[in-house]
Amino acid sequence: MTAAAVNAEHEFPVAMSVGADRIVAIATWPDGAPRRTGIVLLQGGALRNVSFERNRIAVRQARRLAARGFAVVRFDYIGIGDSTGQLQAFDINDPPTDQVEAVVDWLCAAGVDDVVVIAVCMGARTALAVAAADPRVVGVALGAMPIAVRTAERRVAEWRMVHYLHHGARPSKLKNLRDRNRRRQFLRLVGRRIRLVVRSALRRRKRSDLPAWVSRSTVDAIATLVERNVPLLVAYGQQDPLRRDFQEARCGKLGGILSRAGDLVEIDETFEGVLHGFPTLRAQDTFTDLVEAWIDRRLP
Amino acid sequence: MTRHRTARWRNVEGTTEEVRFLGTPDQRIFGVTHLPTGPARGALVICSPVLLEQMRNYRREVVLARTLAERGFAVQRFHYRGTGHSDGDPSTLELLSMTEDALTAAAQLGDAVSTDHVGFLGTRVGGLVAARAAERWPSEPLVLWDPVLSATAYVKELFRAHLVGALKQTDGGTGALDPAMTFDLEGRVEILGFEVTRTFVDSLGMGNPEDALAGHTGPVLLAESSPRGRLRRAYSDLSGRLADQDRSIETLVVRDDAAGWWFPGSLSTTETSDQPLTDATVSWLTATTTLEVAR
Repeated sequence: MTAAAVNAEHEFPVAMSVGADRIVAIATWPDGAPRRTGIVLLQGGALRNVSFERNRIAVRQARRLAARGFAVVRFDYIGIGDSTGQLQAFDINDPPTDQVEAVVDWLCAAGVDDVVVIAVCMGARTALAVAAADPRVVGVALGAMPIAVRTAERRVAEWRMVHYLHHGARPSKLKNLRDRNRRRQFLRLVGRRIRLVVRSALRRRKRSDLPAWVSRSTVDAIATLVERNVPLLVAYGQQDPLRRDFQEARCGKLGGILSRAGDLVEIDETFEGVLHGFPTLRAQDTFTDLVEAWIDRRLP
Repeated sequence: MTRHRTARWRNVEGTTEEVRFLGTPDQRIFGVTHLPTGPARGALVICSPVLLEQMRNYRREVVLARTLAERGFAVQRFHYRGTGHSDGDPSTLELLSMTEDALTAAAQLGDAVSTDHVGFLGTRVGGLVAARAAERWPSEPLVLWDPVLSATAYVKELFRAHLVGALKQTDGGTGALDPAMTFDLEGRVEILGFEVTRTFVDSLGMGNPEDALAGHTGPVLLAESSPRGRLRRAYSDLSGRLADQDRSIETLVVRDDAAGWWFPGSLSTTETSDQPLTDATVSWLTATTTLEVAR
């Protein structure tokens, strides 16, 4: 079946219950019985995102993978897109794994044995968390994955006292503190810095080889997947700011894990632009092609 | 495995939502029907914007549809062919096909609640679609959110957004340093990860909303979200001309510091900033729609 032949006739909507809410998903099904491994597409996390993603890259991906015989599901997180509920907050360190599990449950009940998760941005963190806990996940392909505890904390980690004095102690900035919202922002920034300092001190005490701004749970999840022999693709564009974080994180414990993994973990940084958010047609095509080639290698 | 072509559920508020693909094979469009608890007091088709604006407005349309359903309206949302989950090649997107899809959505809604009275709401380019589709229902309510009034102005806006996007990107952007030149030479240009074709742009040139509104006798709401808090001149001029013709038109400006179609603000600001426009639209539709339709 060619990719062009796969269209909405091969698709059907599914509403899955998660607590009191409904996740709205679109399942793309091949002609005939699907392959034993299904695929879940996780979008990046943002209120303005939807499961078809920018320029409907997720739709193209799903239909191309269905042409190769895979059953594929894409969905909106609760509070996003067509799903019900309200988005409370996207906490990158507490990703919505229950929602992904509901989708995996549905796919397995529909006849697949296991799943591969393809995810971008915050979805990548969610995918890792799910994969580390769920043995039904047998492969993970990630695009522009954030490795920091929080992006804001990553930035804050780079600031020295001179930055705070330079930026924060100017009369114009101090005048801004009369505004309640600005005061809140300032206090939030100070809080982040304090947390980071404390975390750094604790990690130094424990002789941790992870910088304070690196997400320990993410590194642990990767380690778990390596132990379980689960293939992993990590892709960044060369211009992705998140790539720099990943490269720095590799200098520590993460680097050791990746070395031991050998070719189980493939890191692709060949794309010359920005992958995060799929801001260009080239980025969209590149990620789609990368993932398909990786699937061909890992799931022959 | 049994594939159900419709996903349906009842919300805690008592309203029902039905998700399905509409239309003929190979030309299917994705649609969501929102149904009230009892008989519908009105029916409304929501015509979305396209490109990045579709993503910017998506959740606002979902919340609007759900709120209207709770107030007794039946609402149909849909994705044009070539966009969202629907069939079709994005490069063939144009005003005629978009209008056809709106009429398909209207037919679905009409069947769902057994009514001939269908109103339309359109945002940006969706405003052109709504105005054209509404020609079949000239006495019904029509809501236009930040409608595109001029294809030329819209294209300029697209090119500006492209250049701003290119500046924001560290890799220098999409490569089309002069989008206007690229568009003239090649008949297509990439704008923020979407392909915009001459077919699409030329089709917009054929869709002057004022012409489409010529025969519209029903109430019209022209709304704008603006950081300035003032209605732009083009909208006030249009409103004035329609008012001079004794047409029922109201205008609404919602102050929104996070307003902007191409580079939306942070998660929290855009989530809260959507509510005033949604609330005002619901209030207006509730006030202007008194017909109870059967289900």
